[in-house]
Amino acid sequence: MESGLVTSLSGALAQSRRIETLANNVANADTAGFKSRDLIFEEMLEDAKAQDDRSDIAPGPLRKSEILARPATENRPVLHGRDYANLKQGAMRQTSNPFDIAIQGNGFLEVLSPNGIRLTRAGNLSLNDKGQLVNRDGFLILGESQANAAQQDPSKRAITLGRGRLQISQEGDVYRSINGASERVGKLSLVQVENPDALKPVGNTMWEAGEDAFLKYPNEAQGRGPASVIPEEVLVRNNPLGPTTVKPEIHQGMLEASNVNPVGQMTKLIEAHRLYEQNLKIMQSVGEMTGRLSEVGKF
Amino acid sequence: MLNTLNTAATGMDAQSKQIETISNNLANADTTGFKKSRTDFQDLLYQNIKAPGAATSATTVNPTGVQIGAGVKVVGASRDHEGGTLRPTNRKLDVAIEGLGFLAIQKPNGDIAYTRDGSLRVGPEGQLQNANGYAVVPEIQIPQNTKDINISFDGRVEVKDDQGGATEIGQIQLTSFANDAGLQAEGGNLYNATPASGAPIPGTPTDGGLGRLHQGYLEASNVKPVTEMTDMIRAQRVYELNSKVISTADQMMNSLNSIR
Repeated sequence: MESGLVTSLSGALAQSRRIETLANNVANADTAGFKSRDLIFEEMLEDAKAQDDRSDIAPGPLRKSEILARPATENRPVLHGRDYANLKQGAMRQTSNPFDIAIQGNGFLEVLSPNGIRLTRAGNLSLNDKGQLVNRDGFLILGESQANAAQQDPSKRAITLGRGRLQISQEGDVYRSINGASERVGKLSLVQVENPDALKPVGNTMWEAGEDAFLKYPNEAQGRGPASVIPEEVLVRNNPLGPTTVKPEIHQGMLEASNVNPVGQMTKLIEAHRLYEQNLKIMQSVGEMTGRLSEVGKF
Repeated sequence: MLNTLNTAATGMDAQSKQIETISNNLANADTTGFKKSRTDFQDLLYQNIKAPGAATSATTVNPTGVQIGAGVKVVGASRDHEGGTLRPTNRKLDVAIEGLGFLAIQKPNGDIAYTRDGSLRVGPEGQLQNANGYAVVPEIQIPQNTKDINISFDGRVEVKDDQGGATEIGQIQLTSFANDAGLQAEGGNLYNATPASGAPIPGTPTDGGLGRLHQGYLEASNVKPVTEMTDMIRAQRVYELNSKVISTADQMMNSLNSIR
């Protein structure tokens, strides 16, 4: 009975974590470039206490298909879920502001934060006092690096607009236009992500890309071994932003709205709420049973 | 669950800020030279419940971990300096700026402010002023016996006296900034330069994107009421969604408290 208490406790905790995640989604239902997140729990995916056989599992990031096929090793508490971003394209919202850009397809803007380069889909750009393109935090939006410059100082990759109207082409070329005459001042750097699971949210609508984010699967490089067993079409299917073979498109005067779907969030909220209550009910029953047990023999 | 309450509260707070911005836009839908603002949001920091890359066994690592967000914050109300439509007024001293420039105005305390509102007046001592009576910089004196005033595209001010003789008496200058959106609104259709806007760059109208002057026109506000209304509906609904989350968290805590 003790274990019944612990199991339902972990279930209740898991659901309250999930509600925290849902609350964060709903709070960001109107945040440009935000991607909703959800938790999945291992208990839904694995048979507890299954045989320990993981010799065929490659180290490295797991795809959802792989998780399904993966034999479990131990009886983990339900709390050990994993959370993932739903990177699906958000709706395009027309703003007519030339400093707003929306990215369609698999592409992220590079932002130079004080902690290093971060990725973002939030295209509400601005200028700083030097006339350079920045995001809403004042962090530089980076342009494409020069061909030979892997070690190039990222701050040298700023795009300076100066005075004039901003024009951005579908490919990300940035132009300054004065009285109808356009001059190219740079090209936005658009990073494509192969493995969305390796993006870590750091707030400010930015992600930190893990080293696995850009891995091209199947890939035998870096000693990752049998990762190549994952067929290409599975990867493409699992990448909600679309395959990296398709170039992303930039749309000026639009913003990518948050992809939080209120209907989905509300149903998940109800579901999590009910599961939570059920777990509490079980805890209550177990409590009553233990209570009754202690009554036995008290005559 | 206490986190849930805070998270949803940040969502409600952000949306009420958005409604404040929208109501200011709508209130100024007919203010000359007014530029609409928009509230921009960002997600807050994430709490690492389980770090990505943590070992799950001797040979495997957790690919994504568990990270729980703390809500949303208002990152700025950015002003959209898109030009408004030019409205004919047929008043000789109304000038609209078609382009990026601002008129410089000297406030009574001597500070310089900038405006897009070109409804000018002639002051008691003959100097060109804005509607509040602040002098246009550089100063332009209108002679006593003026019959007619002409302001050209490039800002040259020409007056005709009663005999019909034309004299050029001054040049209206425009000022631009590296980052218009960084200007600080002061009220009274005036903006102040800030470190974010960059230093003012004075110039002659028609020069490098500063824009042309149109005499007899005023620039209407660039508020689009339909967009504001749809934004308002969205803000209200998102506000309600967040309040639903709060009531759910409240019910959960209620059940928890009644468990024994």
